[in-house]
Amino acid sequence: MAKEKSSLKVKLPFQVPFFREEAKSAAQSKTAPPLLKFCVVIVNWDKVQLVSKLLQEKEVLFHFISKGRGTATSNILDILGVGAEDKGVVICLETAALAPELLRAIREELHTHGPGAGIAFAVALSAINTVILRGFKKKRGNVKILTNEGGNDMETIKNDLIISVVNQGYSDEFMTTAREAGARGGTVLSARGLANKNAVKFLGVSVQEEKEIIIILAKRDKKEAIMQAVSRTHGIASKAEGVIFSLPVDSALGLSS
Amino acid sequence: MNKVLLEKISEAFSSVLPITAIVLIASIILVPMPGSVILMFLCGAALLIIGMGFFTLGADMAMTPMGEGIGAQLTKMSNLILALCVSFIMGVIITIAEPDLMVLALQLEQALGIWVLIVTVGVGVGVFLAIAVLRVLAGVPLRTLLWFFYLITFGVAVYMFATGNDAFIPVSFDSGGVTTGPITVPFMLAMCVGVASLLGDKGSQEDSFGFVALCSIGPILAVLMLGLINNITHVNAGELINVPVLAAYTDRDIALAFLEKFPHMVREVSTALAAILVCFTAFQLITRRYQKHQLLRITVGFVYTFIGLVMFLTGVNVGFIPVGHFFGSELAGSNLKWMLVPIGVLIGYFIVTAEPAVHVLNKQVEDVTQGAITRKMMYTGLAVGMALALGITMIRIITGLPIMFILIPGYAFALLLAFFVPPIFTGIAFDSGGVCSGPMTSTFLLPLALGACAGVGGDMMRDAFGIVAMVAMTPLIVIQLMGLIYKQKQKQAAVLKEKHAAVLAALTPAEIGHITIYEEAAYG
Repeated sequence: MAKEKSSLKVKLPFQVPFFREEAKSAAQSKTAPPLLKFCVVIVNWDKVQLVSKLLQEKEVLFHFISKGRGTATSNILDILGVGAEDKGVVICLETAALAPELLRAIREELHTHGPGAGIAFAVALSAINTVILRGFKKKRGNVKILTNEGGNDMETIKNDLIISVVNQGYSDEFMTTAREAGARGGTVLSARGLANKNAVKFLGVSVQEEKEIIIILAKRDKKEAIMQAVSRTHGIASKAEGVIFSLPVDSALGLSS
Repeated sequence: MNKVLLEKISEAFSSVLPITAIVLIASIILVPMPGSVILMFLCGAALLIIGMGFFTLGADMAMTPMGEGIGAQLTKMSNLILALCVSFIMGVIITIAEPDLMVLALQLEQALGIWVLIVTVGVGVGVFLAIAVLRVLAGVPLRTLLWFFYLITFGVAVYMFATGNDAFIPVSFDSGGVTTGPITVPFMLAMCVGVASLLGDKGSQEDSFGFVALCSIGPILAVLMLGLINNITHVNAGELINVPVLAAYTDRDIALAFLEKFPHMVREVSTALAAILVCFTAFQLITRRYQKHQLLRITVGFVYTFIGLVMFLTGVNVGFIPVGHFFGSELAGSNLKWMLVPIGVLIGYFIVTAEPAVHVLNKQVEDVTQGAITRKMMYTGLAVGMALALGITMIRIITGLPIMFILIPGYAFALLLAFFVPPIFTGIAFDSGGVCSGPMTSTFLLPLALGACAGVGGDMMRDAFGIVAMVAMTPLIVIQLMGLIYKQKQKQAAVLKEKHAAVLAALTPAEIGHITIYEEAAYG
């Protein structure tokens, strides 16, 4: 099961400007590699274009958009079909120094466009392809690297990102359990399992397993309870065959006012 | 208020209000209508709004997941023969239950037995649904199949035209649009996405469209063949032409008109939905794909779809047919005949959002392309297509131009375009032909054309009936032209990419493969 990999179906809506200038001079740059953050913005689908535009304005080197769906706040609403909204998941990389500012700018932008917009958070990278990193060096070569600089209005409470990969069709029940254990909301992405051993061939094309990735942002003190609860009901031993893990998230912002 | 609900309500309003406003304004300026007819029209529009809201919500909750589920499960079967048999049977059942097909059959009752036509068309759709599934699995380009089948279709049509059996041609082409109704279309659209979704190796996006496209050919070919074999030279247009337009409807008459139609619609919609329900229940019992929570949601969605369609169809059948007919005949009969063309274009442009399946297609497109092709783009493209269709039809009615003179170059152009646009646009375009020709077309545009035809004094069968065929054809061209523009934009992006590629080419493999690993302290 450890071999399980899920591929987000990401689509590049525009070209990727890796390099704005020649890469050669960047190679000679003597500054320490800037620490990068993996930034994730989850907003209502109709706000995705706004975020995308803002990221381009801020000269973020590239970003990817994937469509997911939100989860309802209650079972009844969901069964009545008015619970969940479509969500867009926008992911990008930004230097650690600029990431908090970027997230804040996104909040400002969405704030003027009504409440209930979504969440944004950043996760530190542990390694990166050097060629890509050069793009960042070139672009922000002079910015002093600041670590653990959270900014004042960032939530001081630590958050964790709980990521779960379950079999297709189990995300609704999964979220019910998670909510009971204290989760406030989540986002579901459709994915394909690429467990290559079991891939069935059909007319020479491999048929892949359907999976659902559930992303839940939770306060650190709630994390364990949620993970325990969902592991019990939808863990690896259940029909959902859930793989559940969490990542530390260092700057999380609610985008709603 | 609940946000999703609010969104649906505003969507429903903005879909139906524009066309209502256009018709009202046009009627005040050009053809003053009796107040009672207008009242009926407004009641119909109100039902349409409610119906549209429920339908789109229901389609999201029930039709789409059901179709996708069945499609995905078909792929998982890993047994080609079984998968094809299942799709064939489903195609037949769903088509036979389609209420629009019954209407078509009744029109041709005198020429053909009702069941002969229904079963032939059903088998036609079944065969083509199986072909469509096979196409995705075998990875044959949609273009190839479209070329092949349209060549056959037009071969037969031209032969009939040459031998003087051309009375049957417009009806055949109409039947392609007619059989892909508001229940079949969302279901087939979703099924296609489902089948394609698991074949991740290559081009699953491109393969996510094309079921409706292929399934629209089935009925055309089937009906043409029937006409050819039975050597039918004359077709009676049936009951549709005799639309009673009473100037002196009382409020009670109006209420009665709606109430009388209501049980009829309940019956029609339940037959059609029952067919899908049967397929789905069998499917769920065998595969156990859905969990309790989802099943509940699908059930509620099913109920919504039912309510929505009954409301919508009642509203459109009672409220819109008389206005359409009255409007067309009065305008064509007056000395403002030429006004039919611009008014037709205007109506076409705004009616597209009132076609329920259009919303389902546009959402599907946005979902599959992850927003690269937006809903707005699709609405604009379809609106332009519809406007074009109405404009051409009105010109045809006024001049009496044979339909083949437009259909053949139109389809030839559309098929040629398929070589130049990104494949996904071909799939979407040929699907949207079936999507646009829904209940709004048959209950408002068709009576409008029939009325106009009666006013001008043309041949109903030859001139008016081609409108559905026209509505099914123009989006093929417009959406593909949109694809051309899109491709042009992609080319511009490709230039930039090449620049990057040049920089990357200068790097050694070691440089490209080099990974910078951060000190653990840096990231905590």
